[in-house]
Amino acid sequence: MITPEDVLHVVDSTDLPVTAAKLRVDAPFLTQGLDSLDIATLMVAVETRFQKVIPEDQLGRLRSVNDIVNFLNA
Amino acid sequence: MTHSTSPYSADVRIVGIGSYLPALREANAARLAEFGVDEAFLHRKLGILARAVKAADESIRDLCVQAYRDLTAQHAIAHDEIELCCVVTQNPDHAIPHTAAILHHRLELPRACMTFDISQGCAGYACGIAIVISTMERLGLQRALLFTCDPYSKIVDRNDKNTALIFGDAASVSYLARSGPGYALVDASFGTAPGSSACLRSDDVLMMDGSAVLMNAAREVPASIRGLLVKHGLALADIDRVLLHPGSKRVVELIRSALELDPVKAPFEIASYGNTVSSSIPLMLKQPLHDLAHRRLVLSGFGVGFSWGSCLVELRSSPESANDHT
Repeated sequence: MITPEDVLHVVDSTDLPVTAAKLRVDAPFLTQGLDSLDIATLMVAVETRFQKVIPEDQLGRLRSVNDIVNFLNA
Repeated sequence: MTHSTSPYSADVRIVGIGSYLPALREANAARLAEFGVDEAFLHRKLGILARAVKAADESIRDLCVQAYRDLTAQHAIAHDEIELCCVVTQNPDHAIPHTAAILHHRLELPRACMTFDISQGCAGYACGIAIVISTMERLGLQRALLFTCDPYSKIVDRNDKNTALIFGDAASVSYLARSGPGYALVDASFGTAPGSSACLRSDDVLMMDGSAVLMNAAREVPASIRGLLVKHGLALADIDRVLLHPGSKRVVELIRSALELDPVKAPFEIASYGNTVSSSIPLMLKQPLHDLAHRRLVLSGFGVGFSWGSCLVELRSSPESANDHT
């Protein structure tokens, strides 16, 4: 079972403008200082870390850490 | 190095590159407030501080002719013996005829010269090199010109944040011949991600899904390069430079990270002129080709399609024939 903390570790491994400590897991990335390029960067890191491809039609739905966790555990 | 005299041998190499960047630059810093981004966005993510922009009345053939003049200023070209002229573009001056035929006339190339265009985007140089060299080797052609020119200022909406700060105008021409020092194609690897063709598209105005482009690049390009090298028993340590299409600083950094490359080995050098689509790799290759300092290079283009192409090229030096391409 993948936890929000697992995804936050990935956030800290990337060159994003926010740290995991300041990121709310239930709030949209776009309201927390990340832009679409940052989110795509995070998705690449998530795919690499968890070895799971995120389908194109899912990308727009993964707006928060919790969304990513739910997708990975589905 | 062996140097066969057979007209059908695999000894074609890139021996010279000419380029043209329009003198006019548009600074991205002047538009930050308009797009709601800051200096950090420009420096850390895009890496593009200014874009080269052609004059409104400059055509693709004009840009290509300027690139050819640059080529002939550096290399003595056997102009009357050019047997193939190819232009990589998706923004031709006319739908018909093909741009290569127009250039053929403008440059007064020989009658016995094959002309055709290739419709490809940021992977266009890799496709062009593979197609032109393969054709030359199969048909025994001796000399060819491969142009790239895709001035996106024609199709970019100046008010579109996704594209307005990225693309620059340029043209290049590569001279391919069978003698003289240069880079020969060892092998190439290509691909297109199924169902991804909408990530960059245009009827009149360019539309780009930057996230899809970035994710496809991060997924596909490192694997393409690794696969190409493994096929030849090589590792990245055997490669002197990896010239990645500089779509943006962020995408190059992601690929560098995946391949564990440093900025010297995989440079990003477009801050002063922007992403020039199919011209980006020849612009980066021009200096290494002039210096002949590196033995093996990987050239990797990716974008429109979403398609990618990676070429493994290797230095061929034939001192006895160094002046033959004159």
